Amino acid sequence: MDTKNDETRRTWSELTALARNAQPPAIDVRHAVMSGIRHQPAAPAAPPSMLATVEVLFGRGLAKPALALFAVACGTIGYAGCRGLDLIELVASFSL
Amino acid sequence: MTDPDLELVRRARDGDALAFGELVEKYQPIITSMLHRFAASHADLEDLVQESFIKAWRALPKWEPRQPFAHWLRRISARTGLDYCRRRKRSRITPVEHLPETIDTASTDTAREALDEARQLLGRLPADERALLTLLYLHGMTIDEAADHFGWTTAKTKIRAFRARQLLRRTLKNHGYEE
Repeated sequence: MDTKNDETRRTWSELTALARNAQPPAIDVRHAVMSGIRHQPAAPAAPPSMLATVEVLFGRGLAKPALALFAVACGTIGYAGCRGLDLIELVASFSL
Repeated sequence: MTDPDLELVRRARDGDALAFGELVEKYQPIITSMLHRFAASHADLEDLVQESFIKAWRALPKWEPRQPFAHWLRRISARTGLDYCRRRKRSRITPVEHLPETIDTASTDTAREALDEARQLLGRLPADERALLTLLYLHGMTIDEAADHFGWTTAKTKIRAFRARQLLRRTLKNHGYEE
């Protein structure tokens, strides 16, 4: 890089425009791949993890509805829990 | 539009290695073209192309027919390129070798030299930034395309690209290059 003097040095834009024209070498990996996979059956599809589900929700812009749903679910569970406790207390008061 | 590879991929997914071999034969030029801008040597390039196909074989059960196989494979190879940049940074190896097997004409030599030079400059950046700028500058991808290939969100890719361009600007300045 430092061997080039300023007169011959290209700008970054010129460099990348030229670099995009570089042709890839011809390679053949078929035999190597075939021997690599010979003893490896394709893995069975794993069930999506929780993290993947969260990623999908956020990726699709569903984060807000999902959070709202989560808040409603928490509220409902909390309310049901309180009512349940009241009921248990009531039943317990009869038994005393 | 139906995927022209649907039948072959389905067979490969069911464990037919020969069908997968046909896919390798068909797509290795495309994958090589994707990865030769990442790889510093011919041996590395061969390893990367091979690694991409083996990853694809293992991930075949997750492939869904609604996404074109070619695109899915390109994404796997882009992530293989990203992993390669990360591994190289970790091992602190920074030599740049020339890929020897190119068509021997003046114009391709110039392009090859330019690619080596650009890669040397990008090699001074952190791994993720280097990989991202490889897609943006050497492949000519847009932010959205790069995000899709690496499996990042667009926002994350924009932030990374902004930081990467700042670092690149500093590197170019330090080495006497203009933008």
